[in-house]
Amino acid sequence: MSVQIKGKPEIVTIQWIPKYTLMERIVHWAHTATFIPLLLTGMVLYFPFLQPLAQGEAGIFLRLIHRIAAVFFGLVPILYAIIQPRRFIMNIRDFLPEKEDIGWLKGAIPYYLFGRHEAMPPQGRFNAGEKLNGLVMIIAWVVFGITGLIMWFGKGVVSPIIFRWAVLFHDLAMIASACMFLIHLYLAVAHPLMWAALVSMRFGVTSADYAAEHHAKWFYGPKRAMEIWEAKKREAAHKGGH
Amino acid sequence: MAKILVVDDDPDFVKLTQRILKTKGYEVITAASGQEALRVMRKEKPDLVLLDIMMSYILDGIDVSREMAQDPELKDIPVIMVTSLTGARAQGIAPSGEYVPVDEWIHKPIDPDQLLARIEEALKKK
Repeated sequence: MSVQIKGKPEIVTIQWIPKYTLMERIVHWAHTATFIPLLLTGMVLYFPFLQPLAQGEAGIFLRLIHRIAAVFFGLVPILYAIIQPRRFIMNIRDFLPEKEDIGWLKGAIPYYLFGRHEAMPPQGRFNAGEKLNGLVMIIAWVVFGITGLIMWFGKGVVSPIIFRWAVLFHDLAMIASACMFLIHLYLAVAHPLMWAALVSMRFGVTSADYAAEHHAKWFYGPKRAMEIWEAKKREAAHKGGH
Repeated sequence: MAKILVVDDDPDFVKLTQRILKTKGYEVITAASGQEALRVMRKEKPDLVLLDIMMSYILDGIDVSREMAQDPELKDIPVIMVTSLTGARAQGIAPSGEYVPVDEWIHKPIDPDQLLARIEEALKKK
């Protein structure tokens, strides 16, 4: 996409589009940096075959790491909400599911596994998979916060039943967020269609070509993105017919 | 004094630009999206438009300038793109209707002196 500067033989071609603000990137990486030690130390405490590592002084050390990381993990979104409340609310809204996300679910396997681009309806700034990841992480953050505080400070204070429920929900949140994290990591680091997402989380920008292809609703606007997608589907059907 | 329409979805940027423009006595009107900008333009007939590109969607501002270029009532209003998108400048002449004509392209964050100079230049050309 280019614009012509009137009265001059000069063209400006759009190349890079800001996708993440500096604060969004700091929050993302700070959350990652605290989530990984939480996950690793949590797994040692969770899996029976790793429990020998959680005994004695090593166990005390692991619990300390887990708690320190948990404090930072909990604080990062709170600080973000205090420093940039408008952006924080906008991000939460970005992750809320929409009716159109069903199209992403239907198109995900043909698109990601077989590279059939016409199977994927146009996506916004975040595709439905990224939204799902964000939503799971937000819910997990709330569950970790409540249950973690009960497990840390509630022993002998809350009833044993509440304590056991807290442990169960803490474990469930860990399983859900760990699965999401692994999928997210694979797509961001290894998947050939999605590697540019990692670049944009590193540098804050995405190329115009990538945005047009992977975030067409955000790039062209909903109406034009749908027209382009319909044309793409017709072309694919025409090719398939021959 | 000239009437300038500032189109941007970032209220902080609009406030800052308003303050800069008022130092030179310009009358400032605002819009927060492409659709709103076109409505305001048709009603208020501004002398110049400062247009962000990325608003409701990335090409929102481009679509506004394209629609302006096709509307006899709006096509002569100078447009200065003020954007955080990175564009590569190259020498050349647009060969087809794919290209959208604008008067100037300024990167954010803006330099107030540069902005005022470009506005003056564009208003003189009008």
